[in-house]
Amino acid sequence: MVAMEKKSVFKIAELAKIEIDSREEKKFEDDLSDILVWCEKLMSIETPERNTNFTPNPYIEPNLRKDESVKNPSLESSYKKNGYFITDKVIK
Amino acid sequence: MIDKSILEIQKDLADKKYSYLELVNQQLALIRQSSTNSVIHIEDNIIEKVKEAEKNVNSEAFGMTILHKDNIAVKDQPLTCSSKMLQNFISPYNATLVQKLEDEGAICLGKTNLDEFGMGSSTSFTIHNRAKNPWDKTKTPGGSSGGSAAAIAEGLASVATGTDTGGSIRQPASFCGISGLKPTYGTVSRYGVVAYASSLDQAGPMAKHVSDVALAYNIIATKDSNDSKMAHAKDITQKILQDDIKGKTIGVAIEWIESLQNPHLKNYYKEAIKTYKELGAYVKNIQITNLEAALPCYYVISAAEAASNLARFDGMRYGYRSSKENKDIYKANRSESFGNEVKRRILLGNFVLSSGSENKYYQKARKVRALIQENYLSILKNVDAILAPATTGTAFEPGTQSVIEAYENDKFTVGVNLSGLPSLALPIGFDDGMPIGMQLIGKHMSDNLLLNLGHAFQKRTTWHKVSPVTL
Amino acid sequence: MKYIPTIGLEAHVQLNLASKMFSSSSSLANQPVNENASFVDLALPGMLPLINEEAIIQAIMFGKWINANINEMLTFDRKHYFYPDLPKGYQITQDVNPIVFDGKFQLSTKEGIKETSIVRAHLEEDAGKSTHDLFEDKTAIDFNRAGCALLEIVTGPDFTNVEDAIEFGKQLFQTVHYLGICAGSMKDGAFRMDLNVSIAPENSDKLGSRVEIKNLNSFKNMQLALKYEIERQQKALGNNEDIVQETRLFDTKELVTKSMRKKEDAADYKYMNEPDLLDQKLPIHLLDLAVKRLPLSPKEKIDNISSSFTLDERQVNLLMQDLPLLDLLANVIKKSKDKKLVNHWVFTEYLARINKFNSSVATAPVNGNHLGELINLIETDKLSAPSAKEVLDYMWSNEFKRPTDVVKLLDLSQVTDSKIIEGEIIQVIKDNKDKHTQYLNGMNKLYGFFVGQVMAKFKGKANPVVVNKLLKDVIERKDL
Repeated sequence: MVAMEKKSVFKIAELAKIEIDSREEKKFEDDLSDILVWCEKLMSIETPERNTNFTPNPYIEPNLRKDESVKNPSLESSYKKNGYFITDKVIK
Repeated sequence: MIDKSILEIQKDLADKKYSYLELVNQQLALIRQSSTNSVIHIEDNIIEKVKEAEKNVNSEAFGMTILHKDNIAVKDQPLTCSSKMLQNFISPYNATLVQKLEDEGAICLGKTNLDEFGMGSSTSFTIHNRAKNPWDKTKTPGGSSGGSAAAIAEGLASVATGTDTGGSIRQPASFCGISGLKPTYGTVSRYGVVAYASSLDQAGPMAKHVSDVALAYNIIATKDSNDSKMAHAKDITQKILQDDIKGKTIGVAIEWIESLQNPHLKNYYKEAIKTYKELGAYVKNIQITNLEAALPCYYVISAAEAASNLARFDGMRYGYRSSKENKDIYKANRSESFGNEVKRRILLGNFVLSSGSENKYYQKARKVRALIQENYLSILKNVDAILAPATTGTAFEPGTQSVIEAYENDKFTVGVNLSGLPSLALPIGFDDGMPIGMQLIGKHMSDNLLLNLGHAFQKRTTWHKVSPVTL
Repeated sequence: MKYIPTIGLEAHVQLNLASKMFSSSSSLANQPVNENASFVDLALPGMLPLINEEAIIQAIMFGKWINANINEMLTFDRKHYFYPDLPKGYQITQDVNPIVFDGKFQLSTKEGIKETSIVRAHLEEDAGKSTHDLFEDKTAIDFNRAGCALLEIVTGPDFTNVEDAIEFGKQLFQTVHYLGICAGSMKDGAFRMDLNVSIAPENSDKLGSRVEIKNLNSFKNMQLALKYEIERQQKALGNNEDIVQETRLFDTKELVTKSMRKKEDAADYKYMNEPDLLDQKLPIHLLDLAVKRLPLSPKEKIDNISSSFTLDERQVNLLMQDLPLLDLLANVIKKSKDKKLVNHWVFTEYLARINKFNSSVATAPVNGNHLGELINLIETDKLSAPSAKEVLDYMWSNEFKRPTDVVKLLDLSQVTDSKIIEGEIIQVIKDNKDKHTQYLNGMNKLYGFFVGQVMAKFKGKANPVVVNKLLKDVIERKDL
């Protein structure tokens, strides 16, 4: 039985850069626990080891780009100043 | 006009029964009157585009009024993805599929409602008001392409685009009584389609008539140098649908049909099977295994890819910025703008990719995925198409399902995405006034065959011609 | 207690490409801010990566050069972390299948050739550049660099002294330039090095705690950082303190390594196979292209040169360590076969100017073709040696000009025409009848006087050999 621990949810939220409200915390914990229990069904499926690489469509053709530079349009953004993208400092 | 196929409209335009501009204006007026919240942006500024289109009256999509799902980029129109993160974002470019349709004379009337970033099956996880099913406004039109499906059912445009990652074209198509194609993975460029799960997403056309779905598909299923995972559909240039399907073999997923809770639904599937027999197809029962595993497999893989694809949404270069002081800007920008369903998927995705879970769910899911694909392919060795339900029932009321119950809605559709196969949804009847649909699943690159099968069905039936009484 | 250091190196090499690793924007350095930041580079919704074929070729060239394995599969992975200069929130890199692995680098040292291991080399994309002091309290980001192709080269923990580690860095730098897969300087950030340092007691079979020092951009700083860090670790162990496994930065002002802000856990990058790119077999035709483009090895080039031009041991060593000089010599020999001249003009005149102007052969204003042409002019008597020095100096300090153009400009053409020279000789003799008579009567030392006078008439540009040959005859004439 897999349950989502409180500490785990917070750790995951850190990794995801998502803030969880203390009010929502329990709901997320429960939902994620339910999903993980449901996911255990996966683990019981027998999957033989194989060497072939999976592709969603075997007809996809490899496609590499030639090294040529193209003048692409710039992004107009209100977050720019003097050409730079400006943000609050992440690390103070 | 709103019920006619594009071919018929093209004839009307050639006969000068009305002009393209008159048609477009009429559709825009209908959109403004609609109360299903299917369209969330109306593009009035189309006169120049219509003039441009009128220079080439013989182009393939001349006369095609189209609505694009709001996670598909249309230049100078919003690209909100129904998210607060992008609520003020205007796309500076056209998705490849949008450009191709425009080049062939289609006119985009606006953007349709969806579940945020494509995650959901009710079009109620949205910053716009929830979309309503035109057949019964207390019910959902399905999701995540619910806006497009509802708009087509209401006759607001000839074609609407959707995206299908786990069923998001086929389920709303079934709930709204229209046709929708989830193309073979790799046949339609993903450039300009906001990524949810990169190895599962495909954009596809939805319309009342399979012939219109085919017309649109023909135009968008071409190679694009902006997407490096493309498969070139070699016989997709066949422009005229063949109606003769004699000798084709259809495998019926009989266990899935038998499992449906509502006994009336089974009858409609049996009728549909009978129709195919009358058309000269061979029909036999087939068995699809690993159904139990397909759902968690899908949710693990799609959550992992979604968590990764949504990492770029941080408000640094575009998008929502928090006005909170002294905060972790990443957490603030993201947490204040993502809805709960999206947050759930991001958390799940981070969990399965993190070293804490030792990657076991993710690695296992990848292996199970290969097994599921093998399973479908071995069935498809012996049949041309699989006939199956796309949904477990008809449209439901929003807010009546738990998280897992909502995920279980997709049980008949996710296997197709996991395998990269094409599937066409078609209306096959009504139960208690609500549409019932089926899906036809084919081998890789057999989109054309499915469209033929669908077109033949629609020449024998009239389900697709029924419209809800709205407005 | 004697401690032996163990050093491993990681180099991030900016590949020599016109466009970026996964997008078609220009990868040119020093461009206006965000001029080359396309929608793909900025990670707009709906964007997709596209692999640059030339980057694959250049990576394979490196792999072949160091006799490494080239991976059969071409696959990419996503490495996730959040930072303002990383637009997608992940970097596309190669975690599972590095394109190159298990190679050997032949390091030239004073003690001879040492074989060092290159564990792996893989392709990845660079991040943008953040500046924290341009705007008050804000971070400014330039995404021109975001998406540029990097080849990350990782050595084994093979170095046990600082000198070898530095020498490796220098020779690796030379090598990637020699192959043409890197074109920029360390100063510009085109070649960045990270160091891994640990120390352990002599004769211990266990390695000590490893400390990483990131982002060194000069060999001088590398040397200072290594020396400081080794001492620091020795002091710590001497005081019975543990060495913390961590990442440190080198402070270029205080010349010490400093701990970066510590995080509780090691970063979890959530590596995932890149689903926007096809996992494919490495295309064979790219392998072939890469091999075709490999230059001859230095040894092969030296052997080629030696077959027609004898080199002594000192010269061979010099050439092995200075690959641009080797290329220069090869080019010179194409234009001039005169061994004595080539020897003198390359190893004496040219190198003297390199030292005088404190530059390197790679960045010198005069290249092998020009030097070869210059030597050829001397060889064919069109230019005298003193004049050639003038030309070389001019070429060194002025805007690009070919030797023949400079000769015209400075009017230094050597006169070799016998008729003209004879004419002047006759004139000089006529103008100096007394001295001529004296010479004819036995004052042989006056010969030099006449040479001088003739040369003066030509302002030094007459070919001395021709002058001598003609004067010898004409001066004996009694009829003038």
